[in-house]
Amino acid sequence: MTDTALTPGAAQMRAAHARLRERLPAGWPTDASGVALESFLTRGLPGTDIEEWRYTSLAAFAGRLASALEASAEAAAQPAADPPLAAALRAAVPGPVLCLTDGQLEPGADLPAGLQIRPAARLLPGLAPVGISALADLNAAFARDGLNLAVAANAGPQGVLLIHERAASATTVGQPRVRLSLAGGSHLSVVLLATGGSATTSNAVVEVDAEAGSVLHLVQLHEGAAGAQRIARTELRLGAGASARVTSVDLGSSLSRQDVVVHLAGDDASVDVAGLCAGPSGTHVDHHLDLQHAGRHTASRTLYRSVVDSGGRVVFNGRIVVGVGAAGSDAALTNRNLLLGPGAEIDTKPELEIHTDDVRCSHGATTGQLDPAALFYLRSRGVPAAEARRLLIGAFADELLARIGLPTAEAALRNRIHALLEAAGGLAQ
Amino acid sequence: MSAPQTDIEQLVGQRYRHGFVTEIESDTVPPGLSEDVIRFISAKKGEPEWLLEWRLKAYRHWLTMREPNWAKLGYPPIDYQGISYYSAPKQPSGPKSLDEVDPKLLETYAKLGIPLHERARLAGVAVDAVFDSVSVTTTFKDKLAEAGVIFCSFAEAAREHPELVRKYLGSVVPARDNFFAALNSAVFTDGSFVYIPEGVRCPMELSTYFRINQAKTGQFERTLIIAEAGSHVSYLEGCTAPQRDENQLHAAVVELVALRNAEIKYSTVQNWYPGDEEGRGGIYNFVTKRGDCREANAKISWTQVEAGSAITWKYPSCILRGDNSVGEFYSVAVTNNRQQADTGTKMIHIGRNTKSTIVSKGISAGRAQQAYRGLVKVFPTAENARNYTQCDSLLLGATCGAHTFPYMEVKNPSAIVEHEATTSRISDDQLFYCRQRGLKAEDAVNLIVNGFCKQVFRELPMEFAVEAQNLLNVSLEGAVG
Amino acid sequence: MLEIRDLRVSVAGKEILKGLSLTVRPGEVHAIMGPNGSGKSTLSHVLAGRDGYEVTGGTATWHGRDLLALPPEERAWAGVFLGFQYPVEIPGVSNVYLLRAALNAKRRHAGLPEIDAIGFLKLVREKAKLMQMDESFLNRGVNEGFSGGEKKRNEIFQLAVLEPTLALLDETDSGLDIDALKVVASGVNSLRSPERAFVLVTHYQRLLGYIEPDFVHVLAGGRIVRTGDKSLATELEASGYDALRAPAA
Repeated sequence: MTDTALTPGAAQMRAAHARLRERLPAGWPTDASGVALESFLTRGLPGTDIEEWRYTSLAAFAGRLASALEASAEAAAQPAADPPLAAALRAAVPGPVLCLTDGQLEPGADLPAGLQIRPAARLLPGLAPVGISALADLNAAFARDGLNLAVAANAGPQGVLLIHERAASATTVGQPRVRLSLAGGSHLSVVLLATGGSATTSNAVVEVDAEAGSVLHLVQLHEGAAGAQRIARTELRLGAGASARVTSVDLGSSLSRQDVVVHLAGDDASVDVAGLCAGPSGTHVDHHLDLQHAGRHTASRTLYRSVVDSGGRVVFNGRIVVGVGAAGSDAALTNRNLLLGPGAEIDTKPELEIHTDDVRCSHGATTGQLDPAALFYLRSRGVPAAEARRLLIGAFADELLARIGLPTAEAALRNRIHALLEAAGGLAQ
Repeated sequence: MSAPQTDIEQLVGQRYRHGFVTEIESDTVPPGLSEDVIRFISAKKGEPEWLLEWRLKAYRHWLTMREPNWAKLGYPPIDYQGISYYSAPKQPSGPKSLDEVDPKLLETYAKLGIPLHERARLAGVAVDAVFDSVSVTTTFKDKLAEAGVIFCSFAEAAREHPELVRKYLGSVVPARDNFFAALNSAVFTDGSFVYIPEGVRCPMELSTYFRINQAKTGQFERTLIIAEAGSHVSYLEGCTAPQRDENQLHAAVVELVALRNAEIKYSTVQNWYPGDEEGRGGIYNFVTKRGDCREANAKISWTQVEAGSAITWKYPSCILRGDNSVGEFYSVAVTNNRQQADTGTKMIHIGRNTKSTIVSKGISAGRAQQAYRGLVKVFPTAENARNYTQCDSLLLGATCGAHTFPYMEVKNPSAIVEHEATTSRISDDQLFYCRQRGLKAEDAVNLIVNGFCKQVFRELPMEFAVEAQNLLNVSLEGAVG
Repeated sequence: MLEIRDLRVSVAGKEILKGLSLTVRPGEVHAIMGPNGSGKSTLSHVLAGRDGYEVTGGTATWHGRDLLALPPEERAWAGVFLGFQYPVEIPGVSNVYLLRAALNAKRRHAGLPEIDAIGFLKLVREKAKLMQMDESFLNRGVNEGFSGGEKKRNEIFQLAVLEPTLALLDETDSGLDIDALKVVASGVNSLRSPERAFVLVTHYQRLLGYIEPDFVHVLAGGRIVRTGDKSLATELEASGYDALRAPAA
């Protein structure tokens, strides 16, 4: 049952959509957009009675969405000031930068050979059918631009590309949409940085179509201002022998929900997924992972960690599904969580759904605190308590940050995590 | 080497041994549920007015509820008006002693291997037997009474010890707790009642055997166990039913209350009729079991071997309210053919230094689907709470499913919650190793499966451990050394 | 008598044994040495009946019985014992339980009554002493949490209890420190008898310093390329396997 009270009225949504249609660029697939809207309206936003949303309420998101629908005709103002980390990260990534401001792609970046931007109009319909996710439908209904990036067959490594998803002002609502198409045997390395302003709302969709034998390295970083709300769905489809390495680092905001869905569709496809969630005071961070083993001999490795401070909340849901016929599948998931102080909360749910016997699957989840023995050891060596905690939290985070492969970005993230936790007193306990 | 399918089928595919029907005259109300039926049941039991009111309130609330659909179970809608809510073997107004019990009934229990007569004395186990809706006999009452222990049918308890029943009934599983618990609260017909006075160690194991016999009936028993401060009791429960083509509903409620320093050990071997190879017939087993460690240092331990039923929906749980209280859940679930089981536990940590352990072993074969579903919840008050969960699934065959859904909700920063789960089939290496030593493939599978379950079997009282292992068709391990 | 004639075995379509012949008489100890990948482990696995090996030609008989036609347990009943290079862990199944089940299966097959609990306990205690194993090992899960050395010792202990007539020991010396090696070797030596044949598969000469073989064979490229007495092992130690490959080609 859906909590219909969460969704702005259908009439209001349709009216806003009609206004949007008037301003859509020529050639925009308004049919697909309309189908997505109707699909969204049949169910509305999911309430906490829906299993996937039991720990995350969209009530505040719905409120902002409703008021934004009235204002969405306004032209974009100057981009909001980037939060502290954004500049450091932009400096750390050596390659070209593509900016999506409120979902609108800004012109100007020179792309290396092998990469090509295709018309945004072809982003719709999405790779996944409508009706799978209400939020993805909402995005498809209200998106009016986006990034549609293609990598030519057998294109070799191109360096790192930075995609910066940001807000046009401190209060805007965006529906950013990105598609990455990797033709057979190609390589792509992308950092997707999402930043938000003090009251921004965004609902992003990232689609990846990785054809046979392609290799993707995707890093997703989210730094919202305290009041920012962001929902994002990243969906990968991997063909035969394709492999992906996906790392998500979330520094939290009043609402940050990230879904990562991976379809291991082809035989021998493999994915290595990791995530680091920081939950400073006042944040709500929810990461859902859905790994679908469909091809034979597919493999997945998953490592998620979170650090939650007093007044913060992190949710993790890691589902592994091995379908009938996915013989020889191998899946392992590990989730570790640190609670730093009173009022911190972790809700974690690793899941296994196994439909054939020729498998090796496992998951493990632990929730606890910094190891008192290690803390004592450091203090007995003369390291002050707060510094010792900082060291141990850093060590806990480092294994994940090291996956990014950009040392200056890693250092910036580490410092930012410390600063966030310090501000909330997490290091002083 | 692929596990030899035929051996595996033999292992889990033994014929159901308890499928016979007892030809016995019964008092059975026509199918259907209404306030009148509830009044009829209450009157039959000679219940006090307050209990009737309690039932009716539960019923009225149940009418507003919807059947839960979150479990990973598929079955056609249950027609609650097609079930008879009361069936009792005809006998003159309740037996005074075993001699008055219908010999056919005793024969039934003998066939089931239940020691009601002299064998009971030898085995030293006090037995309450529930046949369809009513308790037919309780053995060893006198000896238990000497120790101050009350062990009787629920109906008798409601008449003889109303103050205890009134105080504790619904105090762990409220009448409105969930759809099936509400239904049970409205129509429960009998069950067992246990009261262990302060400081008493119950002198023998207590045991109830549940039997569904009559066609088109449901069984809705209610069990209430109260362990006063410093007391100790071990309680065993066994269940069987005849082989019928129809599905029969079993919706029981079990409530356990452990006060300061008390310990309750509750063991179940559930072998309700599972249906045939094609999934025809079998019991729908929707059960709410919950224990409340109400005061400090209390301990409640659930051990279950779930082998029967077409559908199992069951989550024996512990509310760890008292400081230092301990909850345990040990489970082996075996599903074969078209059986479906969604089972697990909830450990609710409220008190300080509360500890819980969960060990779940699932074996799935044929076209069966099985899910472990568990919740570990740590309240902000549960300073230093500890949980360890281990959850392993073994798959025998490419057409079955095994699923794991553990929920961990932690709101205290001094808590440590650990969960591990694995899913795999029997390893070829293990099978070959055993066969190289001279074991037949079938015996090798038995041996390995038995080893897989050992952590749980060793929690069972000996009598039940034997029964449990027989259910898995393996000879007793550890007879040597 | 073990007679292997022109045995050809493939794994996943690749031929590993390419016409191997070997004769082992009761009472003899044969060492099969060879470089990595020469097919040593394939030979012992094929003789014991492990899945995944395709016999494409040749025969292997034990006292005239066609070993290759039997399922693994019937080879065990016929007296074949494989000491594994990597003994598997079987959680929850105690060592003694497995042994008793194995021994009784074999006895049932031979038409003998099952061994009673007391007799069995006496037997395993005696054999445990022989292998200098603590009795606590008996009740632990099969190889569960054992160190590498403990696992190998446990293999020889099982050999002592089951009393096979043909013992194939696959790299039993690998992963053993010198003390454990001596215990394993003295266990094997004490089990030598006129009815029992041993085939020791090993990469190094080390074990043969403690167990004196009657014959040493060099397996290379899927065939036995040289046969000699124990001095061959010493020669190999000095010159390495490479020197031997040339004359075989």
